[in-house]
Amino acid sequence: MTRFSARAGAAGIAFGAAPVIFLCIFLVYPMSRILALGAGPLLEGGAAGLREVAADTGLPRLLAASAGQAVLSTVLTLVFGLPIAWIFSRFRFPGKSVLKTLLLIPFVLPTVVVGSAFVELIGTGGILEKIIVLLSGNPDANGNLTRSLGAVLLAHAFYNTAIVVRIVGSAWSGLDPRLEQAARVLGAGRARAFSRVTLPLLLPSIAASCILVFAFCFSSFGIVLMLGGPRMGTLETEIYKQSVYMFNLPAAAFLSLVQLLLTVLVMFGYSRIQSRTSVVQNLKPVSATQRTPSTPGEWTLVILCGLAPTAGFMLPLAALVFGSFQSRSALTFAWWQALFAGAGHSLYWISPLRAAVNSLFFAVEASAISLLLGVPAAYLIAKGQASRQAIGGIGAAALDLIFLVPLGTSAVTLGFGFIVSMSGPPLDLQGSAALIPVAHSLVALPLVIRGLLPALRSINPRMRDAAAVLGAAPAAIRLHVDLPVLRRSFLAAAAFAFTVSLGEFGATAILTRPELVTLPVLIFDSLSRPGLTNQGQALALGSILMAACGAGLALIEQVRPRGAEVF
Amino acid sequence: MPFLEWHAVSRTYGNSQAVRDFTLEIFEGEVLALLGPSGSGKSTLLRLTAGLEEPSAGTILMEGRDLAGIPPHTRKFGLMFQEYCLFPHLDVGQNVEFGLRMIHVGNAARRERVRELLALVRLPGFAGRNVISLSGGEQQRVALARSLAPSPRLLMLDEPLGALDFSLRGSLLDDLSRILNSVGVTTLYVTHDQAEAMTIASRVALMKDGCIVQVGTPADLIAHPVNAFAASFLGLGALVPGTWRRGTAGCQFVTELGSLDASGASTLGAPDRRADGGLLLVRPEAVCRVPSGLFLEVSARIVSRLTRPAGVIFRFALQGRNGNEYPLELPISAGMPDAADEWRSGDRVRLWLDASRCQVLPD
Repeated sequence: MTRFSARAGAAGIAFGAAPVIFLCIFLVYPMSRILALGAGPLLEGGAAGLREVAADTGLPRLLAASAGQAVLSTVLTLVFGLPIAWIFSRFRFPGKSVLKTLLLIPFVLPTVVVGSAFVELIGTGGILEKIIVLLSGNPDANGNLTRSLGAVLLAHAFYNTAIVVRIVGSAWSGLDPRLEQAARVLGAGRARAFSRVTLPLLLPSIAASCILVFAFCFSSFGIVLMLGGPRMGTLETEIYKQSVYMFNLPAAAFLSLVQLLLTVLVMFGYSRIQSRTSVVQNLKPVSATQRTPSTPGEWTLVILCGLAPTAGFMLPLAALVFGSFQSRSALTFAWWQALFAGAGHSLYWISPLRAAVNSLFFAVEASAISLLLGVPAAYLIAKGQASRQAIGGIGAAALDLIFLVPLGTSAVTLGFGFIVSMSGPPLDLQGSAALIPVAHSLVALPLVIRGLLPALRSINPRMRDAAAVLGAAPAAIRLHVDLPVLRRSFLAAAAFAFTVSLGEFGATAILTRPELVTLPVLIFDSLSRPGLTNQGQALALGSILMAACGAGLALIEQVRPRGAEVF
Repeated sequence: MPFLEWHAVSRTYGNSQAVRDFTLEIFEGEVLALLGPSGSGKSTLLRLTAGLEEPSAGTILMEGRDLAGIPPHTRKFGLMFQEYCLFPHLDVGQNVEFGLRMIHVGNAARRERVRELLALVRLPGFAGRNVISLSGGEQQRVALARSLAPSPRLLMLDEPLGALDFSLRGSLLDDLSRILNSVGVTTLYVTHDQAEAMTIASRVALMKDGCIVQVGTPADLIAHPVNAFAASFLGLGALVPGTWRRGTAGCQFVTELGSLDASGASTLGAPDRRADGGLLLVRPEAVCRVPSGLFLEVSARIVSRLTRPAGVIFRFALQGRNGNEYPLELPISAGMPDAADEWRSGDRVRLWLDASRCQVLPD
């Protein structure tokens, strides 16, 4: 090896060490503290102790509830998502990109906003109830569907359909339709051609999206808390209750440990499946796989499977905005005016403007942190994956997995981990304003890396060689070849981190202090207090937050390089 | 002094050797072709020469100076990749001027050079075009202009016509030849197509499995292939295995087509080089119209009869006595009996081979 490349290697290691160190301090260390706290009782009591702790915390019931609702949610999400993925990947029609963006909005919305939107749509006094009252003529008719498993499942499907549409859709739109046509010519009917050719080719992406949806639903917090009713307890809400209300840290730690182990397991499966889908067959450009619907039948299918569900998905969002202008069925601007009047009575109440400023500050910090760490991490992973040596491949796979873990780790666990590990030496950051953006960037980091990886892989290494031969030094190659190709991905990743941070609720709820309250926390706080004004203000705040997230997302869709998906 | 010398250059990847003990030199202004099947190490040699990879052993000298440790961007070599690797985020003009920017050439001089080069590759007025909208042939010419723009001391072309339609290759090869001649740049031309190599290069290095098999002018290679691989890769004719036998009547080369007497055929090789085995090279021009001198009568099956604008071409399968067949292609004009007009696919015919025009080659 020459001196030249040895120096480059040392710089590369320093460059790549930062994200790993960050992850060690803010993910591995807190998680290991949780591990220590949770493992304590287990080690003392042996197998009997384990059974006792499990019984005390109601672990079997919690596991069954968490997994059960997650499985049902995943199935429902697939039912919604697959037809939409099909329509989006096989047909070209006006307004498609707008629909795709609209569908992604729920994914970045704070759970509290989604929760309040669903309450406004199907809760007590919601739009559904008003319609029932109107139709039946009975003013006491009950149209409340919340506080039920169904509401949770519906909200989860609402959240995660975009994942199925994006992951399966991108695989589907790259699939050569002539493969299915070849099967048809060989004598397979439409159904058999689908089940024998298309489905097997889509299976890895369907599996990947299922695992991701399952992981999100399994660790879902805000939705279960707001829509599931008091009797529905999952692992995630129990961790919150044990740590925040009962201050039973060992029990919370034990549950977090279970949660963490399951997360690592599930994410390992996801990472494996994803690395397999990346060596997929000869992909076709979208122009070769999509066509404009030609018959009335096809247009009907497009409307039924694509437009109608998308419109349905917009209902809760519309209900939210509608509700913010409603007071006892009359039009009012009182809630919006109240936002700026600064009237509030709770401990957490700060002016919405102040909360918005907090949210913006945290979002800027979080996107800066996650970009600064995500870029080197993505470089390292891409480099390892491209390396011909086994050690590079294994290292890349390990890094990939480590950086995926925060994606599946519940935000509550993350926040709880910070509380148990950062409140004393060696790290005393309790109450520090730094913890919140750090937690946000941990949540955003996996998505940032996911977004950058395809762009990095898309740079043909020969392109760098070509620049080198034309006289470009390594720094000039980064500037003239890498940066122009990656610029849009950088922007998209930053905007994504920004949006995620803007909506983050679970970790912030645990870590926040009165003066650090963010918009989502303020919304939750307003919702949990009685009174029409509080509810109305929450809806108005939710509308603002939704608009902000929508704007961020629209920006992402604008700058995102074509063909690169966010997961 | 040669412009560039490779001294025992090797490159290994794990257990496989891409380039083995490669020794060659190229002179100023020369066009040298590296010819060989895919996987013979040609592209690796280009990457080693460009400095994109370091040799595992051996040295590369430029005008006597060792190039080891000199990074690619300071070597001032041009390399045109097989897939062109135009920068998709830059337009045609910006691609061509990339190398000039790297050496900080001023605006006016850069524009002038871009204009000059686009004219040279016959793409005038293309400077503002998006590279993605170009056809394959246009991309190839932009890539060539980009490689030539900084006036490289050595131009390396990696299968420059490999990605193009067969029908385009002929005219683009002539164009390329014209451009290389007018620029006069020292050129290393990598290809797997022997016709391409013979057309464009003044010297050809034939490679196999990372080694040089033979170096020479195109005429040399065709007239005196050093072994059976060279003859078969250059498509010189049918190759029939056989053995030497020394009898009372002299030395004979025995094949399943028949035996050839060495005494009357000097081209069979010098007596001291007659090892136990070898392959008989039957070139098309060895087929004769009437039996004359020392000849061999062989039976052949007509595999196909191709009617081309330039005349009819027969593809024969020479029939060995042990049942093996040896393909041989020849035009109707050369050495064919008059009856050949009547021959059709599937016919079995007799041909006479002139022993004095056959060669025995080592395996």
